[in-house]
Amino acid sequence: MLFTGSLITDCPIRQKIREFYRIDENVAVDHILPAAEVNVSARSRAWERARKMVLKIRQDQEGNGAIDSLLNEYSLSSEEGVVLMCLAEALLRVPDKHTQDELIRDKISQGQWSSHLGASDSIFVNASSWGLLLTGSMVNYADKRKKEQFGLLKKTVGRLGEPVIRKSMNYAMKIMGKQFVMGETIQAATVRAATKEQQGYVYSYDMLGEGARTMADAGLYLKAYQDAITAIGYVAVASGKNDPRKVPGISIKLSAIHPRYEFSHKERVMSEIVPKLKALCLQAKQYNIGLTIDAEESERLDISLDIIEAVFSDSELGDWQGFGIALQAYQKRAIHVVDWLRDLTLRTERKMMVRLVKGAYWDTEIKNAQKDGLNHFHVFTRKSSTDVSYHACANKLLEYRDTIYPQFATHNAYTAATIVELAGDDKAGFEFQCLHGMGDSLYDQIVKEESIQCRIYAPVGHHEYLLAYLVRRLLENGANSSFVNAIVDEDQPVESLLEDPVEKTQRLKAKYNNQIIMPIDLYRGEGKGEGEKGRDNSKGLDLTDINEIIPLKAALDNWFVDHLLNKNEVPDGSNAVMNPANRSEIIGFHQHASHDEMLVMIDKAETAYSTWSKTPAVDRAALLCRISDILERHMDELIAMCIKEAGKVAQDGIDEVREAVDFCRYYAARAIELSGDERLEARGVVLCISPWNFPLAIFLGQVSAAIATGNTVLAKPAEQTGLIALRAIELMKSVGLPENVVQAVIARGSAVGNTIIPDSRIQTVMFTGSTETGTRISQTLSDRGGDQVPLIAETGGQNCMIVDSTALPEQVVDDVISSGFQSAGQRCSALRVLFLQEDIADNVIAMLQGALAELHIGNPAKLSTDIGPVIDQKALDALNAHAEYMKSHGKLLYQCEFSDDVVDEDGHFFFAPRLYEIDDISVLKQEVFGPCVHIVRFKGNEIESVVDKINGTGFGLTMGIHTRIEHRAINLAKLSRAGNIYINRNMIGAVVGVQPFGGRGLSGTGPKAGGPNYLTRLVKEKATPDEKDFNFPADKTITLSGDAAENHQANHLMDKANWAEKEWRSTELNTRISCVRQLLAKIAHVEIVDDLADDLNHTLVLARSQLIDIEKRLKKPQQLPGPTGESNIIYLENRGNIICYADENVSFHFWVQSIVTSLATGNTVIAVVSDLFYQEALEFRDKFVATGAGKDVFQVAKQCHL
Amino acid sequence: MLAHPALSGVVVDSGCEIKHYISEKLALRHGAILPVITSEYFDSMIQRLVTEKTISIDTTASGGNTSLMTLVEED
Repeated sequence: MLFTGSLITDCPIRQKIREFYRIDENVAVDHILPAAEVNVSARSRAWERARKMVLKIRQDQEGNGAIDSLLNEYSLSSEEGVVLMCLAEALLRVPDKHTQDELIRDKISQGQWSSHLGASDSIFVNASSWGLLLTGSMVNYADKRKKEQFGLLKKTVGRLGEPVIRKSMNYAMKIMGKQFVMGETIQAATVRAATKEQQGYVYSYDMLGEGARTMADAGLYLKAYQDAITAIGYVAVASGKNDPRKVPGISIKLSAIHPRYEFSHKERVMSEIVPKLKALCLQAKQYNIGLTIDAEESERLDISLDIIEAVFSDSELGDWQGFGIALQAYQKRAIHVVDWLRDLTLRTERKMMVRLVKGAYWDTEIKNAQKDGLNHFHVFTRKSSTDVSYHACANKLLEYRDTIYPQFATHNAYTAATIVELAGDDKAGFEFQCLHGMGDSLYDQIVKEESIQCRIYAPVGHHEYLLAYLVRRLLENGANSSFVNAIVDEDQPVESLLEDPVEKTQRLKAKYNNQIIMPIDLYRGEGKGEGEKGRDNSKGLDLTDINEIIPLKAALDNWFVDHLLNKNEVPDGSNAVMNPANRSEIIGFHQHASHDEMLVMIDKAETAYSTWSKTPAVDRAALLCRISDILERHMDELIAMCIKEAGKVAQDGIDEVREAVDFCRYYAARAIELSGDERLEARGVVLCISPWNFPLAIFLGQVSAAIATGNTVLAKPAEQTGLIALRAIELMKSVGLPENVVQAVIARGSAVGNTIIPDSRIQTVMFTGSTETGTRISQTLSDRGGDQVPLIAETGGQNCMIVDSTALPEQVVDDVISSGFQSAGQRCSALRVLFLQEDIADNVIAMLQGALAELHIGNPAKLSTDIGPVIDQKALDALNAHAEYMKSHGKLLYQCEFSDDVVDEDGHFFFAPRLYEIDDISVLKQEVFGPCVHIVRFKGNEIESVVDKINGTGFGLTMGIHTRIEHRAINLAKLSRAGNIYINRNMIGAVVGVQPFGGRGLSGTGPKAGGPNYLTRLVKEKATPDEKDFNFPADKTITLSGDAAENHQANHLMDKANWAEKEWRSTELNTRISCVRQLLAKIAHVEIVDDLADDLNHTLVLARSQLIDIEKRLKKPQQLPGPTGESNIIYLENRGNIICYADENVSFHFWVQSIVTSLATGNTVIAVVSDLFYQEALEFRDKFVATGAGKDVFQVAKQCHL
Repeated sequence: MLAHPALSGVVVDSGCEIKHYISEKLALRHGAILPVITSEYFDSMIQRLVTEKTISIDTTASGGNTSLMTLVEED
């Protein structure tokens, strides 16, 4: 499984690189410290040299580069700095004026721009300030309610108005663009370069753009590189120098020339990227210029070395000395990469250029490692350790100058000074590199006074691409730890800029920076209790780490060999379990439980309940923690089962196990908290019905929640995925789960529905599955009569994503592919309908088509597979029926091809992913549970009505939003009735405790799984009266049913409530609470109330305290822990339209409290009351209307209206 | 009213015998599964009368992670 052949390397240095991938930080730092040492006298000389340079840079205000000035004026720690960055990133790519205006309003109204005017000497900064000021003073109306104000302003400005604002903003952005881009075309760039080239500088050109998502884009980038090489080559040849070290060169990104430059697609990478890169090298060789391969994400490093080795060893490269690579010092393994490159140059007897950089996108690398639950980071957590690594690598590279031409890319004067010292008299065996627009003063000194060459890394391309690059540069160098940021800050003494990183690091007690939360520690702060240590994050497994996947492959293969059966090994009367990707593979079998066996199980569960419910909560929690640990230890076999039984790809298997582990630990912690409430007790026997799409995670999520709170469980896994559920129970028993606390029911859904659900001993049902089945379960439960049985149902969705024209198309495409197609679209959360603003629709659709074309549909056991099969024949039939329906109801935009490894011997359940366009969401009559995404276009100014349409489906599970307009994102999220909203990211993969998951309306009952309120439904209030004491006489129903006229009135009342609901829910919490408070105050004066209320004062006191409680809970939504760079918040909203019932059996006290609570939480209320309450209810209503609340928010009806 | 599609739930005192009738009527509906809310304790009544919404934002989408990049390192 995973891959064929061996990934074991026979090169000891490559093996070292792999071992250092995520090595403990102390070990990594200890390893490089000696190599970074410089002798004391050289160090002193370097210090003195650096001090002079810094003084000169500070004196030399004119010489500061443009980025430096910009940073100085708009620091990232200021609001304006961040706003400028956000605006710059998006404005130029927005095609339509309306959305541009919205974006500008959103950003500019936030800052204090006038204070920046004239504060900088740089013409450039002043020019952009003018642009921002001009607009900023005019657009202070992001808040819609300030619109009137703007109207006035608009009148004053007269005809100038919005077009002027937009123009000046675009102008400001373009000035920035001009300053930081070398040229919009390579020709313009090379012309502009001439001035500095005369001073002793050279250039390396970078063609701007995002990584390619499609073959078409990759082709365009390749063409751009080829054209650039020709243009640069022309200049180089004209110079007559004929030496790649002396002439301009080019930098290329492999991710630009191939859409699947990923380790998982190794075969494609090697067979397709190597020849492309080689061709570019040969072209560079033809002009004898340098070509440097830029460093990219850390997970690509290992595969990049394979590519580099293949191309660099090619004899056709001949005597060309221009092959270069960039190496990032912030990686713990960097030092070994230097050794490997050295070894490569010796083996091939060819010289290489090596650009040593500190490393960009450090923040992204940290975030990813946290998210993935990895054991360590692969980058250093301190800037000073990166500097040590840089010095260590530099020392080595300088030693290797006979085969390597080191290129030191730094803006740090101390680093540069040290290197000048180390190099001694050599001025030509190496060079420095800096970024266009940065470090001008530093390098003027080095180039002119030291006569050492400096190469400028210069971006070339259109301004809209440049700005994303610029924003990144600003962020990297605006970092407080950055030298560039410190040097422009006059408050920092010169000496503070000259700290020796080696000395600093030697002094450090903890090499690891505790401010960066280790992946395992993400949830330490989660608990409420004193001294509470939180819980461990689940451990991940990195499929790009070869040292991890070699043993994983062996374990998966072994599991498969051990479990593969022949047909004749399946006993008669049993059902074979077959791999959905290849039905000739039988991996197990089941025998279904009979009616009587199920009844016996209920008996046993009841018996077990008496002891289990009395087991202390901490002991139950400890068991759950042991379960989570054993799941982690058995991750390999559980992944194997996910692949072979559920047709999942390996990454989905990892995520599955992690989610299960997280559930166990999360509920264990919450159950201990809940056990402090003496008023609650366990419910009894709980029936858990889980689906096949998360056969371990949802199965265990339900089970662990139920047993954590002291219930015993009958767990019915999906028929398709029973094996992994049974295995999970075995593992649970092996760490101490008592007999009969959890019993698996292997049976058809209908059998369970006929036998277990009607049994009155089942106290609660937890269900995840289709909306129809959910309704059937609720009906069967109701047929039992008596109290409503708690049913926690997690059902279907019609999940949408809204994308406006400020979104970055590449990000959108990544998120659509993962949200709509990953796991073959078989997630409850998966994207089904993509709403694209018409102005960008064609562009995004083309990119989506191209990205779909690159997906590998095939055997999920292979790492290179992106999309596996759907689960079974029924699912496949439904999808095929949908495809048929779409022939007449939509337009097919793309359909993926199967790969060769879709085998057809005994059949399989593959369905080709499809992309459709439809006119309206109403074309879809039901949820399409598979890899199909449907696109609907919308007009930019109608974005709010899109949310109304989505809400109109009645479903409310997940929704995605892509926009750079912050207030728009928040507004859309507020309007949406979906349970989980995802902004500027994908919309799948909710993490336990971070994104509590679950829908509303047709999508589920709540509370949210993996959320703080889930367990409350699994316990019972001790004061609940025994249901057997109630006997509702049939003759009473007469008063409850009305005639036609009354029915009509009833409907009308509910319609009116529903119309009033949206406004009431959106009314500020303060206002709502105030209205209810006023109501309470007025009730105190209603005389007739006295007849009903035993103790009116008592009721009013409690109602007021209830309001305080509501205010407290709703005012401050709960922030949830999670990885850096994410905001996760859980909000409480209303339910909708509520009936508060009262007759002679209802206490006045309860009734008032129910109305107060419903109204204050944003629900509309219809008080349905018997005659006894009727007059009072009307009085209440009138008093409430008098407070200014909408007139239909609170209505009154009679029993006959019920 | 118990059959009206816009209804979201019913609150009724647990001591009231009509609660069983209401839960039967609600189960007959198509569409969303609705609660009969009979909380004994008023704090749990709040919980039953609200729904939850999770909003997850990638705050690094436009450019990068400003909080991490502006972190002041401590020794």
